[in-house]
Amino acid sequence: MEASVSEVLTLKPPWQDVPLAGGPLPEIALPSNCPGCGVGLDREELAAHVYVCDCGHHFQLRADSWIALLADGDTWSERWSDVRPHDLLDWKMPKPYHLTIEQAREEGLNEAVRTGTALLGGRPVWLGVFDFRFVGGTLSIVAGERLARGLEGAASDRLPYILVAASGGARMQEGVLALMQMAKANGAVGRLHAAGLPYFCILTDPTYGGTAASLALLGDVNIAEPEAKIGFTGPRVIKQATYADLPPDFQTADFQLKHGQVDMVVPRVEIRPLLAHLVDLYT
Amino acid sequence: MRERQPGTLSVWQVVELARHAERPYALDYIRRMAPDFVEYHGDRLGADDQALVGGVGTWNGRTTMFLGQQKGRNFPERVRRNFGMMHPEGYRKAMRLARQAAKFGFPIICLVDTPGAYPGAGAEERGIAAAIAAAIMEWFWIPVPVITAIIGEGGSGRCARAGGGGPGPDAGELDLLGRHARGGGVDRVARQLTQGGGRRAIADHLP
Ligand SMILES: [Zn+2]
Repeated sequence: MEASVSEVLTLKPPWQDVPLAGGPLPEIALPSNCPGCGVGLDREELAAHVYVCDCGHHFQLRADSWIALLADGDTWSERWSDVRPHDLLDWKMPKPYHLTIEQAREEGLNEAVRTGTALLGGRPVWLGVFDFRFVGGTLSIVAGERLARGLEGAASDRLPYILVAASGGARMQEGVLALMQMAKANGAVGRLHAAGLPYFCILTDPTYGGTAASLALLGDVNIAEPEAKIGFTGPRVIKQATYADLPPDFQTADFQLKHGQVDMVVPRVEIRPLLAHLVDLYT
Repeated sequence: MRERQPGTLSVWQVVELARHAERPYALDYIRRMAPDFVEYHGDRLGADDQALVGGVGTWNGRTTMFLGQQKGRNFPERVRRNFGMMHPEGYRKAMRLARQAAKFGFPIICLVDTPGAYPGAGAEERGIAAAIAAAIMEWFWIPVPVITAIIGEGGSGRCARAGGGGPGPDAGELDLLGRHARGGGVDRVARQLTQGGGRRAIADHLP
């Protein structure tokens, strides 16, 4: 006798045995109460639960959090961290760009994108991770260069590339030089696709502008975190330009699922097991 | 009626069986064939057509791309699935996933179960004729094995083709195909498909 539909649906897929994180996540700055449910936060419990509240609120992670979440133990091997930003346009607004860079560097941040190799549940992968704290995770010359080299590295190593996006768009302080990174990164994505290798994009809050309009939405599989905002033009600018009434769920992950831009909306606790499964399926 | 041999049913009874709400639907097959199935959504252009389901899973030890029209068992679910009638976005989603299967060399299994493409104003506004046309053309160039099974209704050959397999016979014949899932009539199905050219299109892609 065949199993009934309900039995089949409750079968636990083999990939759910993969732990939800590769190691402990670094501590991140948190408000005292959850913006989702208002309950006071237990930091240790939250860290163990990859910074997802019981109410479902996902706290924004940093690049090092995502690396710790996805990579097994100490398998992360960062590449091209010595590629550094410069104020090529002598940008002054809203404050001198060279000061912005210096300040971020003093805070221990190394540009808006970090890339390298790691094992994910024992499977070798390339990772590219945005850090929203570095000038809003903006796509810059350095970010574009690291992404393009990483994508080309994945193509020549014949490994999957996993991107974690969190970005306000292209970095205005680098002007057209930042916009050019959209083309450079996408050229490298095209090479990865042409080499027949998988490209998985994790879209976290927020993914906007030149990043959304270049490599972040080109995954073979686009996976969004619940309630992440994903779009091209932000709602404030749209309202200013068109006086449009926007729906309450405008540009949320579910909105983009409904509008065909993402394959699935996956809670953070399931992302690593799912990625491990996808890597198995695609390699 | 279920107990009777297919050969003793009237034509209309066969059609009723093909449309029966208790028939297994595409997702019932897919989740049994590949318990590790991961469903994908969206055409990456503007919508996710829930009349067309698709995704990857392991079948017979190989990663396989599954595509199929999905109906609903109760009224809200039927509305959500649009009674298994695809909008242009469904064809575009199917082709996006077929291209992905081609990229990775995954075989494709198509499970056809539809009364036909959606006959509505919105579908016309968004180019359903062009979406179907492009899908038919592109299927010939998908360089992986494509196996199509008609698991219920295969109304209006158009959907069978977009579900996978090139030109097929006309509506009336395909409605009859529902019976082959119950045993008998497989030869006749094959004959009809061959006459319609559908089988040839599939066979061309087999290694
Ligand atoms: Zn909460």
